[in-house]
Order: sequence, then structure tokens, then C-alpha cells
Amino acid sequence: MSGAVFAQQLVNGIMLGGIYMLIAVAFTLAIGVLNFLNFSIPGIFMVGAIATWRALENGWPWVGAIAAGLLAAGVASYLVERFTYRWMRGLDHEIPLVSSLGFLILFENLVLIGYGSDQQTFPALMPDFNIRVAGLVIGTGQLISLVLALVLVIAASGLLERTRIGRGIRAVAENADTATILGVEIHRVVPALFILIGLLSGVSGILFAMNYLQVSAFMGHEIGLKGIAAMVIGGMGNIWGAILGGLLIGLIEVLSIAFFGANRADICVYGALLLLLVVRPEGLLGGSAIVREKL
Amino acid sequence: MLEVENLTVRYGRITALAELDLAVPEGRIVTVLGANGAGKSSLLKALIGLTPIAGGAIRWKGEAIHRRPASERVKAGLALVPEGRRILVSMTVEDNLKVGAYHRDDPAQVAREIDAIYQRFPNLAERRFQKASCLSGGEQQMLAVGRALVSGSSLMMLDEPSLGLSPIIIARLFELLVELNKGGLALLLVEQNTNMALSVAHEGHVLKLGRKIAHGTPQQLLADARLQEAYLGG
Amino acid sequence: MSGYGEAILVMLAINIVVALAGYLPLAAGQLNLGIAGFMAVGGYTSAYLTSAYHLPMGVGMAAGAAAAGLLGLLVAVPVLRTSGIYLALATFALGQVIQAAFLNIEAVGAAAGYPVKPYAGFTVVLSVAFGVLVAVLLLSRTRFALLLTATKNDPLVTELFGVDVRAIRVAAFSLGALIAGIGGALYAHHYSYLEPQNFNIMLSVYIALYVLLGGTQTVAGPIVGAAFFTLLPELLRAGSHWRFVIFAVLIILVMAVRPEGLITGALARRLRFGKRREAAS
Ligand SMILES: Nc1ncnc2c1ncn2[C@@H]1O[C@H](COP(=O)(O)OP(=O)(O)O)[C@@H](O)[C@H]1O
Ligand SMILES: [Mg+2]
Repeated sequence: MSGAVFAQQLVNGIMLGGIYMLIAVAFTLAIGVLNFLNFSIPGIFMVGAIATWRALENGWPWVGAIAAGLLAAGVASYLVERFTYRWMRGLDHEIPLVSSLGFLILFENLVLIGYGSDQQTFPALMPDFNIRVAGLVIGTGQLISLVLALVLVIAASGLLERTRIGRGIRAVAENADTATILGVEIHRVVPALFILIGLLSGVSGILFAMNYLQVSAFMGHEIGLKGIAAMVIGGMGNIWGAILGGLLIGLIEVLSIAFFGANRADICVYGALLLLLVVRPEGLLGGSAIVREKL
Repeated sequence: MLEVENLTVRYGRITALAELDLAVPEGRIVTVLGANGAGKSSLLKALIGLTPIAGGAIRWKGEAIHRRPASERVKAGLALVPEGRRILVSMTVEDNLKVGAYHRDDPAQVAREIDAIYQRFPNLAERRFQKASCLSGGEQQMLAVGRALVSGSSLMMLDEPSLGLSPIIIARLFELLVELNKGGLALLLVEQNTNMALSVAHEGHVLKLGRKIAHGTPQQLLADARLQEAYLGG
Repeated sequence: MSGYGEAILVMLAINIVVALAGYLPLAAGQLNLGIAGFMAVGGYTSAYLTSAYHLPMGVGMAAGAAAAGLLGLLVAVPVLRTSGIYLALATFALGQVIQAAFLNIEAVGAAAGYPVKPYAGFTVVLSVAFGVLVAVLLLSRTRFALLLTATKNDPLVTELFGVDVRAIRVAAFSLGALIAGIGGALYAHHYSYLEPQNFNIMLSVYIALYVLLGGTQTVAGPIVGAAFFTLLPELLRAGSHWRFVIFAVLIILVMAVRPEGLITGALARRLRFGKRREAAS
């Protein structure tokens, strides 16, 4: 592989990583604050994209359609909070995990019943042309996604760092009882966090649809599962880790396709995840920035 | 100001607190004494709303508050400095204080009060942007008290604040408590350090296995054999 | 019996086998989200040995089970260093790696799939499944079952009693993998065709979910869970997606109101006690 081709692959990997990043951040917020491996996130990702697609099909302007997608994702995530986390607070951590798998199946099959299992074409909303920089080809759609993803993640991190609700979320993350005696309304903070998680997943689904111009009931699987890998590799509960992990997973995927072929990519991606879980389960960026010793 | 009537707290079959009556008048220091397992922490947790009550009533400024969530009780003016301090160690000193003021909507005033706390505790001021995990035990206790102060409370409840501190720090802590009380803050002080607690309190209650066995002024209690009994388990 | 009835029973039998595979580690408190991977190992091993070396099907299945069990043993040691969410994630990653690996093994058809020759009919599948069930039932009457529960409920205290908690965990995990291998082999020889896509993460998820729905306190739990999952669509006669919707709603509700699953130890004892009383009177 020549230097130029390799550089191009690096660029492609980073662009792909931008998509994984947002969903990894959604996973990491749920784990970091609630110790909840929220498997419904790939479903919410899909709900956001599908709702946007439906709205566009019905002739909505794209701003309205995106708003509808975000609303659907937020509501879906709120439902997950309502029926998993809220009922089971304080119980075995596996129980919400299992319920969230239930929600994943629920969302996917409801969409299957509604719209079938075919890939649906998503209309092109973003300018689809390539920019050339120093001999490298960069797709504008992907670039916009990457930048937007970074902006959103930084905004989410600012929200956690600097706002009152953010402090409340971090307090709950460290110790729910202590947060309670300090007057933090857990019954408000936790749903708010779930809605944030839903919105991030939804944005990520919509961006994915815009880039790949298709949606389907199972579109969340591959991305969502790689998002989990990205989160773990960066360090569970660590937002910056999720960004790093997203980029790394994107790179591993693109480079392993380039070197070993498409069929070997999953071995590399999930092999890396497995290896990391065994040798350094706390992830590359160490413990968590939200919580110190949560898990 | 705070009136507790017939308060009962249970954990499953264990009765941690049985039919307790207690009152904290405005501006007073009331202490609750008792050995380990007497039910002291359960009392404070029930008062702040962390533990549900099995019976009885809690009235605050004339209103029954025992069905309200903790967040509303904090807003109404109760604050708890919990056993073991429970500093949020993943957060900075400053963020700990800000979480203490979580429910308050007057940021400018909160900022002034936080500054006042820094003036009172220069050690905290030096470390305001560091993780609270780097504080010593004494500093953590000061932070926990400071956190309760910025909540704008009129009753501060402290659960064994002297635990694990050196005698010098304990003396400073109690000086501070007396000073805060002079400023009008009422205190409900749970202690095993009987002498320190009775030296500052206006009145005291003695608990044993969830029941009140004595009540009176510090002088009365110091002369009361039941106080020794509560600790010796006689 | 009608072909339709037989088909349902075969599906039920295989589902019960893999449910037991998920049950053993869960009984020790380990959520294995990679069962499908071990099924793939068992299925492909047996299929390959019987097709390429013309070994008898029984030998092939035994080898498939052994291969899956051995792989379980091999990975158990590093993977079980983690616990809780980390373990669920590690098994998930493992399942993904195994599935992706079979996508690349040309000897068994890679992505194109692999036809399997010796056919396991109704009788074979049901006999093997029955054998597995009896074995697990026998196991559940030994001290091992108590140790599993103890390990799940309080590993620290169990350790204090001089039990090698780690060994118990490794044993539960590997035995589960071995049984999953048998399930995979039955699947291979009955449906006569293997594709890596058959063994995806959602298969592992469904297995884990129906075991949890049934309950992990007794052997009856996974059986009820598997039966429920297999028979639900037949009972409903509704579109196949509705079956998953109902299943998903049930999972969410059961986890919320009865997180121990439908069949708890106490319920099983009460039923048994009731029967004895009836017999006595
Ligand atoms: N969360 C709990 N669950 C069950 N029992 C508890 C719990 N907390 C306290 N107890 C029991 O309640 C009794 C009173 O405990 P506590 O209020 O902590 O006493 P103290 O603070 O005076 O040491 C003890 O017997 C203790 O074991
Ligand atoms: Mg106590």
C-alpha cells in the first residue's frame, strides 16, 4: 500500500469513527452515570432515523423531519428509563441490561411490522461532493458528520461540567444517596439524562442515514455494537474516551478491510475489544472522568 | 421548628427506631447520643428523606413533611452532613459546594456564600479546583459542613462529625458549630463522642436499640446512669 | 405425529438444549452473551468431521461438544477475570469474533455456507436433548448446584467457606459452552445447512432472554423459558414479528415485577410440595 493510499485510509477511518463516536458517548453516559449497559441505544438510533425518513416521505421539510426524528428518539429513550431503570433502581445491574435488550427487540420488531425488513432509501439531504486536500479525498457529508459529532460531544461534556443539571448528573453518578441528601431530584435528573442519551443516539442515526442514504429496522446493530466496542476501548464512563474509542474503531475497521479484506474486519474490531477487556478492562483513558471507581 | 412524633423506622423485620418523639426548637443545639446500632443514623436519614418511615410524623415549621421527597426537604431548609462525610470525590471542591446549593436559584448570592466559606477555610480555597479526593479527613469534614451551609439551611443535622478526626480538629469543628449556632443555625447533632456533644448542646436524647431511654439538659444527662448504660449495653 | 408437530418439537428440543447452556453460567451469576458462538463451534466441528472424514454422526457431535467445551475452558480463564457488565461484554465480543472467524474459514464454506450431510431426524434430536436434560437435572441434585447458587448470591462469603469460586465459575461457563456445542451440532445435522449469519449476536441475546424469562433459580426455569419462546407463535398464530413484540414486552414486564423470572425456587418447591400432598391424600 502506498503512502498516499494509506493516508486516504486513515482519513476514511476517522470519518467513519465520527459516526461511532456519538453512539459511544451515549453508551458511556449510561454506563458512567447509571452503571447501566443500555442495549436499547442501537434501537433508539434506528428509531431516530426511521422517524425522520417517515416524516420526509410524508413531505415534511427536512428541518421538521429531523425534529420529528429527534423527538421520537427522545421519547423512546424516556420510555426505556420509565420501564427499566426507574422500576429497578438499586437492583442487580443485569436486570436493566436485560430489559434494555427487550426494548431493542421491541423497537426493531415494531418497525418491522410497520415498514417491513427492506432497506428503505433515504433522500439525500447533504451536499454530496468531495473536497480534495493535499491529494486526500474527503466526503463533505462525512466531514459535516464528524464536525457535528465533535461539537455535540463537546457540548454534552460542557453540559455535564458546567451546568446545574450536569453537576446533578455527576453527583448521582458517584453516589445516588449522597446526591439525594444534597437535594438533587433523582427522578428529574435521571430522565433528563436518558433524554440526552436518546437525542445523541437519534442524531447519530439521522447522520448515518444522511451519509449512507438508507434506513432499515436493523440499521442500529452494526453501528451500535461497534459503538459499544468504542466505548469500552476508550474507557467506560469517559466521554473523551468514547471519542478516542470511536476514532480507533473506525480506523481499525477501515485499515483491517484494506489489509485483510472485508470479512476479517469484525475479527479485528471485536478481537481488539476482547483483548482489551481481558488485559485492560478500564480502557485506554483509564477509569472514568465522570466517576472514579464506579464499576 | 422541627417536631418528630412517634417516629418508627424499619428495615424489613429490624426495627431501627421505635416511636421516637423529639423536637428541635429554633436556634438550639439538640444532641442525640447512643452506641452503635442505636438508630441514630436511621433517625437522620428518615428526617432528610433517604429512608422511608414506617410510622409517625415529621413536622417542619408546622407542616408535615414526611411524605415529601428529600429534594423538597432540603429546599425547605433541612441539611444533613452524613456519617462518613460522603464527599463527592470525583468532583472538585468547588463543584461539591455548588451541588450543596443545587436547589438554589440565586447564583450571585450562592457565589458570595461560597466565597465566605473559602475565607473561613483557606485550605479549601487553595484546592478549590482540585478533586475533593485530595483533601484530608479534617478538610473533608469542613467541606461537608460548608456544603450543608450553602444549601441555605436553617437546621443542620450532623451524623457523628467527629468520627476519625484528631482531637485538635474536633475542637475546631465544635468551635465552628457553636459559632454557626450563635449565628442562628439550629443543629441536630448525633454523636458517640458524648462529652464533646454535651459540652455544646442545649439538650440531649439518649437512644438504645431504637428507643429513647433518657432526655434532658446536658447536666441532667451527665448525672444520669442511663447514659452510661446506653453505651455499656447494661 | 404430523410433520408440523414434529418440527415444533424439534425446535423446542434444540431451544431447551441451548437454554440449558445459557442457564448453567447464569445460575452462577454470569450472563453469557456469546452462546451462539459456542453453538457455531459445536455445529461446524461436527459438520466438518462427519462430512470431510465421514465420521459417524454421534462421534461428530461428541467432538463438536468437546470442541465448544474446550474453547469455553480456554477462554473462561481470561474472560472470567472480569465480572458483571465486563463479563457480559467480553462474552459478547467473543461471540462476535467466533462468528466472524467462521465467515473466513474456507474449509467450511466461509460466507457461502456449508451443507451438512448426516441427517439427525426427530428421534435423534429428541433423544439427545432428553439426554442433556437428564444430565443437567442430575447435576442439579449434586453439591455443584448449591455451589453455583452460593457463588451467584455471595461470592465473597462462598470463598470464605473454602470453596474455589473461580473453579466453580470456570466449570459453569465451560459446561454451558459444551452444551451449547451439542445444541449447535443438533441444529447443524437437523437443518442440514450452516451459515455464519445463523449464529449472530441476536441469537445469543434471545437465548439469554428466554432463560432469564423462565428464571435461573431452577432447571425448570430455562425449560419454561424455551417452551414459552418456541410455542408462543404457535399459540398466537400471529405474524412472526408480533411474537417478538410480545416476547419483548413480557421480558420488560417480568424483569420489572418479578426479576427472578417466572419460575422461582420457592414456586418450584411449592408445586412439588403440593404434588406430594396430593399423592399422600
Ligand atoms: N440499610 C439497612 N438495612 C438493614 N438494617 C439496617 C440498615 N441500616 C441500619 N440498619 C440496622 O438498623 C439499626 C440501627 O442502625 P443505625 O441507624 O445505623 O444506628 P447508629 O447510627 O446509631 O449506629 C442497626 O441494627 C442496623 O443494623
Ligand atoms: Mg450511624
